Amino acid sequence: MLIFIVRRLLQTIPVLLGVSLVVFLMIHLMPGCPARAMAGEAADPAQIEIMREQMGLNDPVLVQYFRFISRALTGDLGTSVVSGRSVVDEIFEARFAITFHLAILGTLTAVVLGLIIGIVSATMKDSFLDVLLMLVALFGLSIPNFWLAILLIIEFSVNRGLLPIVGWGELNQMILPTLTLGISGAAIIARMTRANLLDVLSQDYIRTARAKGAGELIVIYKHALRNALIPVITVVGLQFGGLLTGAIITETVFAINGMGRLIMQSITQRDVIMIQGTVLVVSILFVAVNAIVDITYRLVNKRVDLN
Amino acid sequence: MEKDKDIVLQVENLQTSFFTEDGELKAVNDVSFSIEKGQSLGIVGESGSGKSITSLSILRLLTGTTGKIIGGKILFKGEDLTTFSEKKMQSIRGNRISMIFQEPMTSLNPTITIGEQIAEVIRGHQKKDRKSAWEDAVKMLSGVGIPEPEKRAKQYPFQLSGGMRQRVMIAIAISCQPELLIADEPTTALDVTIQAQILSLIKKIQRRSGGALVMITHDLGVIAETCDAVAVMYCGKIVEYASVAELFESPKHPYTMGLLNSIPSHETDSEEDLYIIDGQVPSPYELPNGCLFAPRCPYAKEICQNALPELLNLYGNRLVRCHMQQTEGRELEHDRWKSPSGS
Amino acid sequence: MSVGTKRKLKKIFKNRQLTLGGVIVILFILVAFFAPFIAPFDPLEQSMPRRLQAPSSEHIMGTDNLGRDVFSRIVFGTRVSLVVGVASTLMGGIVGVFFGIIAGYYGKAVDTVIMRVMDILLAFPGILLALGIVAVLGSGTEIVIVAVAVWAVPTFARIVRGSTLAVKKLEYIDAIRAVGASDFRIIFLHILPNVLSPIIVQATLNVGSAIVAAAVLSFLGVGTQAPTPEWGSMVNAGRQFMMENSYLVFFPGLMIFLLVVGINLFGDGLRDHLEPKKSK
Repeated sequence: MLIFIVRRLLQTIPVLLGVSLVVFLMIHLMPGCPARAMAGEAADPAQIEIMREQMGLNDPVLVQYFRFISRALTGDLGTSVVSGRSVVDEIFEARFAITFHLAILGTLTAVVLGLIIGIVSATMKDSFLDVLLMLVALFGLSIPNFWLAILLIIEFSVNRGLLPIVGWGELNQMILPTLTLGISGAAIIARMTRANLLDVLSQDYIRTARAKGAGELIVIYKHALRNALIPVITVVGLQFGGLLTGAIITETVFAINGMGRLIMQSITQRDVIMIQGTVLVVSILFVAVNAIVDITYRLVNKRVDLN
Repeated sequence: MEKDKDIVLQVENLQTSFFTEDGELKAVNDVSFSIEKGQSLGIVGESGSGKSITSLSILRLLTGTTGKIIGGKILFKGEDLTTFSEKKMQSIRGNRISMIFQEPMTSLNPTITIGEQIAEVIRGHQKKDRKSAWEDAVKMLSGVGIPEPEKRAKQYPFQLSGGMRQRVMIAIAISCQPELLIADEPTTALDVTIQAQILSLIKKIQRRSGGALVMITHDLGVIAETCDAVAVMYCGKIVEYASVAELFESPKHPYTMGLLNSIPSHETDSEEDLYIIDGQVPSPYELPNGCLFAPRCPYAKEICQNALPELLNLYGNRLVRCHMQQTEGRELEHDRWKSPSGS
Repeated sequence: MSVGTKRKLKKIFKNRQLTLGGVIVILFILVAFFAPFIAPFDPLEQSMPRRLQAPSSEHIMGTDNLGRDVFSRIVFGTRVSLVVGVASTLMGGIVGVFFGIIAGYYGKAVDTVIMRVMDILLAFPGILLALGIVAVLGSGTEIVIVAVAVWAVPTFARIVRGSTLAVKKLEYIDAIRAVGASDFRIIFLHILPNVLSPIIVQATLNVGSAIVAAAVLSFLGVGTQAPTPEWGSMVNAGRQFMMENSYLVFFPGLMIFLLVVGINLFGDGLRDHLEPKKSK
């Protein structure tokens, strides 16, 4: 098991290097020169040239890449060409906690809603409620979340005046963004849970449990659910990726100053250093979550897997 | 009748059908048999003969399938199980009637320790706390011949071999001293050497407890080893019923003869002597009008194609479903069963 | 018509998801095709006097802040969404299938290199990669197609690689190789047809997610640019009027939703039909 954990963690290294290379090249190919932005609109070519030299933009690409990597490893992702603030400070002092909080709430919503819907649906297979819930799940899966966010605002904030339109921090400000973020994940988890539970319920050991005289509740909650939930762990990990980009939309619509909004602001302001930093941090986060999920899956699944 | 007191299970005209998109599938079609205390009855047949569905019907374990009991009675100690509520059935299952399944590899829950899987039944049916139920579970494990039962009880199914798992299944089944034990192909999935051990364990347990045993199998060898009486099933119907000794001595139904002749034995070890029943089991959706076995029967006459023979009581409790026995009552000659390539 | 064909057709029609989804998708395709005949107004024609009119018999979905007929814009928006969805799926699909088959068929170093690259692409969560590409290459419908296509590549590659590995194990592939068939022939004549079912299912579902991804990019202002009528950017433009004129947000979003529901229904039905074992 330890070997597996170490190997899985080592696997992330080439992926992270690749990610950093892609991010670096992406920024390098981007039109608009960071030196010009740094030097200011009024700068003449000579000043820009000095800036380029200072920023190392005249060095060979490979040299620039290694400089980027070695600085990133020491926790230096450069400074924003717009605000002049350190990228690391901007992300971790101001933005990260908010997006992390949002993502955790979104995941919780997705898991709780998804599990309840999936379990109810599977236990009442082919009933009216099952069909209805699966239809709801299909809708949740298909609804564009930017539209959902605005519909929620129109209904609960504009029409009913129950909840604030924008912002983050107060409890009532968190409800709509969390819902927006959690719904598509809930739909996916609901469908997955239902399918897995139905699959498990047709297994031989469920028949054994029934033959022992176990009641339906024990059959489902003690014997079936535990086995059905193992594959759902993987989905939760993958959903986290959707959540991170969902945060871009959610934060944009609800004007929440998290990492998602930072990415969008940086793109519109062509703040290349900031884009580079945030995209890198978000991707590293995603790679890390996936590694953790894989390891958890393996730990939980050990008993089943070995035969 | 005083004999009635000892009857544990009496199945009367049981009919179980599956309802699929392609129509009704009569898996068990008018099956009757009974079994007394201390007796062991074998039900033998090919796959698809309805033998397993019969056993699942008795325990009403058709949940999650399209199968339904559509007729007949299942009298257990005189009470009709088909009229029981689900709740009442739960108090019977694993307690007074238990079942051992074919696939020990998949019949145990992979995420629960085997000790808990046994203790769970005990707690479910007897008023015992966790600790004493666990102790009982360990005792059951040692009772079915599992070494180091304390250690094994804490393990998960994947840590046990197939034979060990089947022993665990047996321990689960007998943990509440059931009056009726149904074993559905308990050895089919196991290695030959393990098969003999498991069979003798089941036999030993049945002798010790004095309960009734229904042994479901496709293997007449298993029947010979473990049973007193035997019912032969074909396409959802019983075609012959006899004591084991009589069945092996003088089979009356051509199908039984075919089955017996297709067992490889030590005396007839040349390949030519191994017989094969020609043709295939008919599709359950398109059963023949007459005798179900007629299309494959070397003795079939015109009447066999047109009318379904009744289950005829020859004498005592010696039953056979065959026109030949009904109309002529004479011994059929065995040598009509030739291997298809043998002539 | 043989009994077998009849039975198959019956099964397809019995698959209600497939039928319903198919009907919805076909309706949208028809709207896209006959857009100029269906739309009562020019989708680009502005008119200040009739700006921000609520839905009426003349403008059934109202008019926007520039006085353009929302219904006409939505009708033409169908074209953009369908074209982006299908084109990016085709592009991403072809590239992904190509690399997936190559990786699965040749294995070893080729497999490792290709799949590590796919891992890197998959390491960018959700649409972040597409967003990055748009940020680099600039906005516009063509670039959205490319960005969404790149985003779809690794998913196709993974699925196809898995199926190829399974097919490669079949004995008859060995037999064909033994008779001296070329790799090219084996891949195109024997492996590709066998991995087609999962590709078709994935392609269908991918059209849906590609449409949403493209709409998201446009909603964020980096996708299809004004004045081209596109549903995502219409929602974005309508956002500032949502207090009084919520229909400006409602109708274009509803179209994305309906079209994607249709595609997902169709895809689910297709999966049940083509891969009964895998249907989840």
